[in-house]
Amino acid sequence: MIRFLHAADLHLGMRITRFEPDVCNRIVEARFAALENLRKVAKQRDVQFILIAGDIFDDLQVEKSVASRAFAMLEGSANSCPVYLIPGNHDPLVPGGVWDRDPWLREQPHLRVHLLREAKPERVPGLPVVIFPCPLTQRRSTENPTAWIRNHPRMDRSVIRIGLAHGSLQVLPNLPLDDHLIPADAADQLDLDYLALGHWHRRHTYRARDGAERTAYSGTHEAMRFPGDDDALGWSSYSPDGDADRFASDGFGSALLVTIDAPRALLQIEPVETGWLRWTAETLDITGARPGEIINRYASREDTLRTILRLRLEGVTTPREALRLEELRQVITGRYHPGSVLDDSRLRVQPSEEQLREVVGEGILRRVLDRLNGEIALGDAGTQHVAQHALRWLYRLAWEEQPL
Amino acid sequence: MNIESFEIENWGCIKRVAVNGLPPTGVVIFHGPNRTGKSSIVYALRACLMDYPSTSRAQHILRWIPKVANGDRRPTVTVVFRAGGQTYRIKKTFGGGPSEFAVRTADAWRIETTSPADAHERVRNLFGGKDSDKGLHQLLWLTQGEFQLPEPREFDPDVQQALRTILGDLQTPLDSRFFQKLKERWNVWYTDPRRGTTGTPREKDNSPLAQNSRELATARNELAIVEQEFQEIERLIRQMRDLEIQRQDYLRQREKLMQEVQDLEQRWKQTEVRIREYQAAEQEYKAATQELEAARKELADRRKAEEQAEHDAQAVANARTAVDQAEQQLAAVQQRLNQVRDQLQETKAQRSAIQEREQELAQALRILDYMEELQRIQDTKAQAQEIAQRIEQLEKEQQQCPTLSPEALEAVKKSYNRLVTLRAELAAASLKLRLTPQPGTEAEVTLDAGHAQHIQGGGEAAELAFRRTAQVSIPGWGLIEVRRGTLAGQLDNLEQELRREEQAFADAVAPLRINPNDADALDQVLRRDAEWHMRKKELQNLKKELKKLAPAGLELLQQREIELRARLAAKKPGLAMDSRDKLHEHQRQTEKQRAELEQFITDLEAQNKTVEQQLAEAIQMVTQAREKLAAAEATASASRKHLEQLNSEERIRQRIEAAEAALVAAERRRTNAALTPEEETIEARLKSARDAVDALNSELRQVEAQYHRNRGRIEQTEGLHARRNQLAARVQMLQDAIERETLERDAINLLYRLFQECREQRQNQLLGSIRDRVLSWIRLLDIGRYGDLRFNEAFLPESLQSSDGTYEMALDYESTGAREQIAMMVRLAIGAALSKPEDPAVAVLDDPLTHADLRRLTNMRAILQSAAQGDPKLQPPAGPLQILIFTCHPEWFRSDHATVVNLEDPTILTRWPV
Repeated sequence: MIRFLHAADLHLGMRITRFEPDVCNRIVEARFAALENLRKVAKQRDVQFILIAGDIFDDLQVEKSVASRAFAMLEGSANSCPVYLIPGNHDPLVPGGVWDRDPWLREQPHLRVHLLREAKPERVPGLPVVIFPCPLTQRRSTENPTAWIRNHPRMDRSVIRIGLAHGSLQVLPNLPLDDHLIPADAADQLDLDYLALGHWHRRHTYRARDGAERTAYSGTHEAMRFPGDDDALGWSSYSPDGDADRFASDGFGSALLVTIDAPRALLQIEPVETGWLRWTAETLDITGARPGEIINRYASREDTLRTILRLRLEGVTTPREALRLEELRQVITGRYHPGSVLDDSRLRVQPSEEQLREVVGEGILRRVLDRLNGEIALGDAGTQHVAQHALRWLYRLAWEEQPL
Repeated sequence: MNIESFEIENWGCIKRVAVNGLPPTGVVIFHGPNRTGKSSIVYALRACLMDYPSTSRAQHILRWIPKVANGDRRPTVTVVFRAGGQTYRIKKTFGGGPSEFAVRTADAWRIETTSPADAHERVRNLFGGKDSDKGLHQLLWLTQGEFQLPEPREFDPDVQQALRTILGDLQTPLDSRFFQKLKERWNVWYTDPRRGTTGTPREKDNSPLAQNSRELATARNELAIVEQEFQEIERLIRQMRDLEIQRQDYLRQREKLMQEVQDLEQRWKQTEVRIREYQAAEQEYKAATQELEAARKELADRRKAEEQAEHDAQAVANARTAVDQAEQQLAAVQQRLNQVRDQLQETKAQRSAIQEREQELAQALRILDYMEELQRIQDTKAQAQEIAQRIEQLEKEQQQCPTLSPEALEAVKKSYNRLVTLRAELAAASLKLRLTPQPGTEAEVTLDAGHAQHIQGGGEAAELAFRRTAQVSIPGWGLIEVRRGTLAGQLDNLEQELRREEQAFADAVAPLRINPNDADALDQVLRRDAEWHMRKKELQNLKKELKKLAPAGLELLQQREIELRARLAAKKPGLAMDSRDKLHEHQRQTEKQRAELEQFITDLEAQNKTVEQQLAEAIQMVTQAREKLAAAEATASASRKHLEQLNSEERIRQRIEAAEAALVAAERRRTNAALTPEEETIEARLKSARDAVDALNSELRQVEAQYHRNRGRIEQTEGLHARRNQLAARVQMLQDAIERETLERDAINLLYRLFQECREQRQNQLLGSIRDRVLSWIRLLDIGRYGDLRFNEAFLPESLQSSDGTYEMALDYESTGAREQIAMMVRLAIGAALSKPEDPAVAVLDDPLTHADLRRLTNMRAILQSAAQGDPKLQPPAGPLQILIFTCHPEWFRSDHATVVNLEDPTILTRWPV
């Protein structure tokens, strides 16, 4: 029986732009923290090796500090087992690229790191396991990266055959032809006990003809965006269709703990969470709701410091309650992980008649308010947007200037 | 409240001023020149009605106490004024003196108080309860030189409150605080419109939005550069794969070619002996072929040389014939030339004879000319000699009978006239002594101590003149002496002058040798002068005539005569003389003959020239023919020599036969050693294969070089990803910030704009009547083309707007004069709003509108009159005003409706002597 961890798409040095620089740095740093989690899980679950199916780095031009740090974490004594990894389409094996520089250029064998540069069978020392690595040398290619394994049929029935590849499994319609396509039944065709895949960012498993889940995407070890989010955060895949759904996130990072008893035997795949941050996107209609309750709800959540929250408010509220929502904004920006945000751009502020009299009085401000409401009611979308914002300012300034 | 009358005593320079019967409304003009005390009156009224009790020891008051020789006199101000339907009188003696406050009753003044403090307080309250620079007085009591409106914060709040009471709130305190806050935020992005621009706000260059926009542009540029670099690296990455494939392909091709080269080399070694033998046979065959060709060529050369020698001999014969022909032609031309030259010489001799005849004819004509000229000169000479003699005679007469110069002549005339006058005066001054002695008597008369005269009686009465004394001795009677009493001195003077004149006249006419005592002495002088001038004129005419006859003098005429006589004497002997006409006829005939000869000579000279040219050509032809002959002889000699040097034809034929035999043998050997097609091409194929290998190696090197260059480029891009990320993040952050801030800016600007519009609407609602009144006055004064006047919340004007609404300008930007006038009109309009018909307010203007031109002052009179009248139809109604103007320019303000007080009138105002 063998046990190993299957991870992929670490995207160390990831590109992210939709936050303040400090927040971006924290999010990038979280991917190393998640790698540390991966090492911990490996040790805790006593795995015999780790497979990383490509895209260790977000690009082959990452900074030396990122490349060195990753090497140190995987090669260092804190890591309890060998790590087999291949270049993916983000960090392809290109002369002069990250793999062609120190420390990754150092001659193998290393203690633990096994960068599989060539498409040739790799025997795992001490184990009846042969890894068939499929390193990528291009961002895009119409070639099947696993095709070469066909030339190495199973000769020894005592050996567990594991494919390690990076590409798109042909289980979806209209995949780009040059996205390193891998046949859906590659595991069967190539007689592999397990095909560890990288490239897609959410966890997927696929059954072989014998019913066993022999093909799997582990998903990213650390989430890269809000789940179900339409708004990109600055990261984009190098695939022809860019930010396609297969690169969407679950909001948390994970790896697969794979246990194989014997060649051709059934196997167990257990997802394990490795992520450092959880990304949460929520939408709340606060029409008629009490701001205090909402504030309490979000203030009392656990583990907020490792949660990036994007709370989008909708519906209609009064100006006074809208002012109270500033407290909610403070809770979200103050207690949650930096980058958390309260989006009230879709919230409509509608004052009551009593509030009108109370706040703006009977002077010029009252006339201004009437004019603003007219703009909101009759203006085009752009005018309405500005007028809504102006209305908030009207209340805010008038409220602040109320006599004590 | 308004002033009915006032009396001021001992106030500064004013000894006393008293003005009564001021109308409750309307314009009152107090005028007087500078230093009359106008401002002092205003100050006294301010002090009495509002500012100081009589007990005040303030320096402002004490300084008005006049210092006069007979002791200090305290200033006393008495004002009768109306307020609230009552008439009051206040009298204050400043410098610690008493006060008296009284109210007018039906028949007398009822004293209300004499307490200085009480009196002051009551009057002050009736006048608004404020100092003279506070309350409504702040607007209506203008000191000298004051023309600006007060700042909003300095404008009396009570007046503002009073206006609010009448007009309503322009904006609430909340509105004001709100707008203050809003303006602070608005000023983050905008500034107020500048003078001369449209009313749209101006965006600040240093707002965070502007800064972010600039930073975004910079970051985008930087990102574009990094993106370009990134795309270049992406291209290199794609190219690396192609290069690797190409390199592998080249390696495979090279391996295949190398194998081919090896095979070809092996086969080449195997066929090398046969190839060498074939190459030797081929070489021998080539040599035999060349020998045969050389022998055949030698034979051809010989035949060609023979032909050439024959041809050259023929050429020599032809050249010789040409020389003979040329020489014959030369002789013929020579003969013709001699004939022409002889004929030419003969013709020229004929022409010389003709020319001699012509000269003789010319000489005969000249002799005729000389003779005629000699006759003319002799006549002229005789005439000239006669004129010369007359001139000489006249000049002599002039010398003998000279005249005076015009100046001297004029002096003589004057002297003579004076002489006559003096003689007449002396004659007039003489006394007459009339003696009528009886017959038989006689008397002896001695006049002026002169000779005694005897007067015999019985004749006519004798009248004798004397100047000084007359003595009559009558025999038997005695001596009678008559003496002039007075005027003797005058007689002396006349006599002396007469003597001087007589001497001067005598001296003047002395050169003319005329007796000065002659009665017609002056006539003689004048006659002499007339004669002298007549002679002078005749002399001038004669000289002109002589000059005309003999311009160069008689001597020259003489010389010319001698010369002509000599020429005639030198006439050629035997010269045939004839009449002038005949001589001319001969001359024409010889000229015709000579012209014909000249033409003939010209023709002959042309023939001579032509024949000379023919001779030169003939000589040249002979020379050329001889040269050709020499050349042909030399060529023929060379051809002969060349032919002699060549082998004989027989010998050459033997050489050809031998070469043909050798060629047959070589061809046979070559046929025997002939190579197969494969043997023939193996060397070329081997070379081609080796070249292909070299070319592939070169391509391979290029591919590998490109591969390594790309690798180097990619290696250098370490960190590019991070830079790209950071810049993209920066761009994103700036875009987000700009989007957020733009929304906020637009929202604040919308609020700002709406607030302004709403406030303007409110202002129009409240201040409409005041604004309209001021605007109508502004238009009357023709101050700009303003359509609106905007007021701030303190009810003071803030800005002016153009009539089309596109231009708004702060009031401060108007000219000094316009600001003064607008401020004056606003003061009057606001004051009128607070004035009541039953209790008109008083406006005191000390020396106003000093910056206005005369045109505006004219219209300003109408405005002041309008303000003083008020307008009950307005809402709120404009009350009437009592407007007191103190000025040294009464003509600026004088109108039919104005009351005029002349402060120069001593019954109104007296000053302390200074």
